[in-house]
Amino acid sequence: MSKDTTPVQSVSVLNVHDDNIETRQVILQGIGVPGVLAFDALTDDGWRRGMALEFDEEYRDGLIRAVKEAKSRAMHVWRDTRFVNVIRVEFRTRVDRARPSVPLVSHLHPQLIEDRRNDWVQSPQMILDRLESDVTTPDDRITAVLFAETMIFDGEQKPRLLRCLFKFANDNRFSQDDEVKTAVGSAIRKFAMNMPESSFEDYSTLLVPTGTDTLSCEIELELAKAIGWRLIRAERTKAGVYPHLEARLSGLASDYLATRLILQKNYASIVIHAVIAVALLNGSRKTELINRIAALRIDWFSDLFSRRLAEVIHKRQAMGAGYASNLKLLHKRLHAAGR
Amino acid sequence: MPAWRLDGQDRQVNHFDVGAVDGTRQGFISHVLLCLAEQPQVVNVNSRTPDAVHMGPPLEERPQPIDAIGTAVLDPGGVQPTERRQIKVFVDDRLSERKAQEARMAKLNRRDPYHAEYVIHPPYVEPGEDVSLWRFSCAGFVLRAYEEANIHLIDVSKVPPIDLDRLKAAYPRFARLLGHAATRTSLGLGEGSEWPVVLAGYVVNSLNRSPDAIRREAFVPDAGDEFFPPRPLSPKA
Repeated sequence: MSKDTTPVQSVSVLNVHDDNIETRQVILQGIGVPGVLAFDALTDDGWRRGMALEFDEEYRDGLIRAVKEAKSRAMHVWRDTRFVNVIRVEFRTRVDRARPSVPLVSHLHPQLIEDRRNDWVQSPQMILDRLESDVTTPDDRITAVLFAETMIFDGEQKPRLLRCLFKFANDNRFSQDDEVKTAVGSAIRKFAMNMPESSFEDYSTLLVPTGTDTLSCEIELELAKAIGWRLIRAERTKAGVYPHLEARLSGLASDYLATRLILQKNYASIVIHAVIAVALLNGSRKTELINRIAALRIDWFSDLFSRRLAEVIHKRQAMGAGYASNLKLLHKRLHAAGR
Repeated sequence: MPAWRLDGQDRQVNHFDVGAVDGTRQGFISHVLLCLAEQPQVVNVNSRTPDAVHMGPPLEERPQPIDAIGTAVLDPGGVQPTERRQIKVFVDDRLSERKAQEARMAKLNRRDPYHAEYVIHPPYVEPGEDVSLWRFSCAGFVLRAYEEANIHLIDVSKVPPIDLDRLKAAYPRFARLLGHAATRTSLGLGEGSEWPVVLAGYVVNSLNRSPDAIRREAFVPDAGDEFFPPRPLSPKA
């Protein structure tokens, strides 16, 4: 530590997005401007460096109360909370190297600390930080995945997010824990809706069971549902471009296309989403699957499938996307086979 | 008629019938939901809390006190539960999305109104890049569920516009927040001073027709149909 660096017992850093960042260690350094300090602070997200304004505890606590009050008045803002610019501290760089440890005693009220504990979920950047960090706790990782689903990420953040979501889904897709399964569902939906078409084949690997593990039907449904949603928005697809995705979705639908299964659990829904996805991929087994739906002679099921397919055709036409005519042929085939 | 207010008389509620809840003004319908009654259930003014699935928000499955019931007499004359099956597929599909939202709310200890799955207008929004789950209003959830059974309760292209005052009256829970443009944008309303919002009462009045009429054509609501029974309103009432 250099001579002109001043270790302190505590510091509270008020930030536009984060309200207050808890620090475990901090080094402050004067920069020749009265009341302004440069700081290096060890936060839950690692070392951060920036500029801080100097003020006493009483004033700090008053500011925190003011921010809380402003925030409670601004409850209508559910995303990217931005309240008053009471004090703004820009984090400019992240410092990864270790720093000498300085004990910190927090003077914050316990309720304020508790209230702030989850504030990071409203910040896309902090969600990404949690997802990318190797030291994030499993609980925080689940929280990050859940909140990522309803958060808007910018162009630079999206590829990083997609990598994290895919890894999370892949690592946890066989979990039998309900909380983890819920988060995997979130990860799958967000990933599918944002993935580039070049990732379609990677996505198909999520459908593959192993010799010892099979996917739960809840995860299968999310996988089939999300790719169906995504494919509706896809560019015109040609048969054989995504052979693994096509084959795995066809296999999934085929496995459940039996009268004794279709009425159980969520298999009907899995089949509907999977077959629509196969149809949108112009998959080689699309006609076979349509014929099998008709052959089941379960009216409510074939009616529902028919309406969903018609809805997809309508959406593709409205988008000006190609391939609607092929889907129309399939729709006609379904009705012909059902007679 | 297939919609009625609960009174002292025992009446039957069936699976996926629509329950309606009064708002602060007598007769004004502020909320609608799908009743869950795989076995028909008797309701009256003293026993009026059937199991339900509804967009609160959040989307949740729990008993709800109701003041009125509307029914399309689902699966009329049929021995097989065709329409109910189709609605069930839709409701079940929303289950994991509901669980995710429930988990988010739990993480926040419900301190913040985190209504990522909620929208006022249009009545429902399909999943997209930003929010990868269905978003609904309470009426939108019911409308979309019935559309799965090919029952189009309301012609959403012919809904009368309402101004901010009426909007606040329709959504008392959001009344203060609706004064903020940012909130209105979050809830899908966007700019402007009037919006063709599908109000909960329209759903009940749509169901207050014969089963044939319900299936034959979508209901076109008018001012006053936010009440049940409907009340013609002066423009700024």
